[in-house]
Amino acid sequence: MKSIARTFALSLGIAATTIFLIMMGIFIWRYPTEEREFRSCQVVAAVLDRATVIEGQKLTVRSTPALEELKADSPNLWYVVSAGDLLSEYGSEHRPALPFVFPYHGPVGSSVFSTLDQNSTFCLSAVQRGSLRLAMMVGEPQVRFGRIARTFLLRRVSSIILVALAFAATVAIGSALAARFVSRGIERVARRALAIDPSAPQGLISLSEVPSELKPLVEALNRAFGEIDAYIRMQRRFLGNAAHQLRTPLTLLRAKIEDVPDPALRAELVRDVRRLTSLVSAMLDLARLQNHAVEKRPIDLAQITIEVLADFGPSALDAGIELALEQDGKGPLMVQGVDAAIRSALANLVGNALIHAHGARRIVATLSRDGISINDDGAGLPDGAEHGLTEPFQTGNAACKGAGLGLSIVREIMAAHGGELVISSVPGRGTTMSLRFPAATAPVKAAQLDLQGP
Amino acid sequence: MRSLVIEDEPQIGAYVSRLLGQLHGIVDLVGSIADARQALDNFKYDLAIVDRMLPDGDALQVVTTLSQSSERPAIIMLTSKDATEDVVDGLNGGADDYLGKPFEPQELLARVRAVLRRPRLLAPSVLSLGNVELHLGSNEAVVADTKILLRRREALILGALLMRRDRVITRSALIEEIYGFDDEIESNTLEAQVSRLRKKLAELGGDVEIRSMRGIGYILRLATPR
Repeated sequence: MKSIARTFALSLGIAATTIFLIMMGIFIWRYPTEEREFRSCQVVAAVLDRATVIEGQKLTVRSTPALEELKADSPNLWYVVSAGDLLSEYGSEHRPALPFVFPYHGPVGSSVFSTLDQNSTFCLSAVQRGSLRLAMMVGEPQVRFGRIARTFLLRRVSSIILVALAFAATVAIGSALAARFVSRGIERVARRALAIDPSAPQGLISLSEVPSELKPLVEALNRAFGEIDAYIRMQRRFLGNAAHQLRTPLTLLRAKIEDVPDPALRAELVRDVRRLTSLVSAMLDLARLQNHAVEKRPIDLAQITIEVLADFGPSALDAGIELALEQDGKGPLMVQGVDAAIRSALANLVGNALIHAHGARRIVATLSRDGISINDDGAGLPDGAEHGLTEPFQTGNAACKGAGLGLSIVREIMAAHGGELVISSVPGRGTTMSLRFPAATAPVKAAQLDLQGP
Repeated sequence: MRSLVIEDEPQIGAYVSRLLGQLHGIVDLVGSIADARQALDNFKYDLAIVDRMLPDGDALQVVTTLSQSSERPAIIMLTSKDATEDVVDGLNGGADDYLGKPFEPQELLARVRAVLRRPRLLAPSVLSLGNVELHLGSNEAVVADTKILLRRREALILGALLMRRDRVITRSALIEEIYGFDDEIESNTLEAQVSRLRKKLAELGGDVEIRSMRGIGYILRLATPR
């Protein structure tokens, strides 16, 4: 994945550098004429200075590549080089009348002067070489742009670097700010997206809060969320309808069981229908809970647990299993929840323990501040089987009865309460299934003394 | 006694009719609101078992009109709509009881008996299970043909257990039934009384047993499992 900020800074940097270079070129190109002449004067003087050799009483202008290039470029070039009384001249036929006489004895330095007829200019440059003073006068040089640019850059290097750095800093700060603006916008969208409840992804991300560039993305996200929400709703409606429709055949089934002559078989069938019924009820309760068809209220976990266990009392006795409840303290244990759904969840756990805990003699429910634990002393689960158990259609043992739907419904019911189903098991020592609630609160004294009730 | 069953699923209707037939009487079965109104115009019923969702509407309207008539029958709604709100709607609409589908046949019959005796406010005078009988109001019990006079609390406990035989009565529900408002309840009083009652029944050869379920409550059932 490319980083937006890095790409941004890189492309902006390249663009800025290009613009900077073009501006520099234009600036040098459009350099004021005098200044330009002065520069070319300096360039030519330097070329001549390097080409000039003084040996004894002889002054020679050697033919250097730079000088040859200059001569080739400038058809009307002329120059006079003098040192003391020594003198060398080139292109004297082009030379106009000058305001100086040769040999020149003026001060060291270089300057541009007009010729006597005011039609053109020439360059005068004097340098000290040993005891001699080398004077050069040059006219009509056509210095290449590259050479002027080079001397210009060499002479102005510090100021150019300064300007370039300032420019680069501006670009860097600008791109950093822009990148930050973009990433802030993305972060805001991401925060909104994270805040959306995955089980009911509506509410959507407000378009007024995001940068306009991100709007297509946010709109697409919102549309996707909307579709997911519609799909989830459809599924839940289906679940609720299915659970509802199952009741009539279950009732018929229950009625027909009365005609079974074998009492043992009848009892077993009745137990199976009961289990199926509790599963269907749990599905329906879950559907109601997830569709927000019911409101969570403060409910007493202790009361519900005792009632559910009481319901299972006869089946436990039939199966020869001791069913007991242990409680840290007396009194209510209040949680926010939906009574019917919690009952269903708990009934599924207890029913599960009664049917699936092979060889169990005791099933003990424990109420504590965290919630409820159902512990059996049966064979336990094989190592690592706890995790798969809450997936639909997974059972602890391939030979076990039941569709394995129960625990996944229990898990969903707990999730809808902001709690969780925790399963722990030691092979050979039994299994503990706990319903944990987010904030099961301690007994409230006043609630016990409510004598106003009906 | 004449009962009306309003149920559109014929097999369930036939089954409910058969169950009610055990209570000695005539049972009429109808499958729609229109038929139900016609039946109610022609006969006087003591009991109506009403399914809610019928092909021609919600039978709650029948229940409401029925409950406002001068000679109203006892009404039990028997339906697969059994969310709390539905039950509240049904009871507020005039039903005497509300039972969700699928139902246990014994539970339906128990509820029918309960709503039928409610207007008379008269509980049956004798409760029994196995060879144990309790004569309500007299603290007198018969265990294996032997008469025995129980203490008042023991009789109350036995009565409560007999009323809910084969079902667990929670400890708190039992305490509510046998202790008055001002009675001091020692933490182990109930246990002591139950175990004394248990001993008395066993000594006389009673074929029922009172099982304690730790932290939950008590259950009375036949000693030898069926």
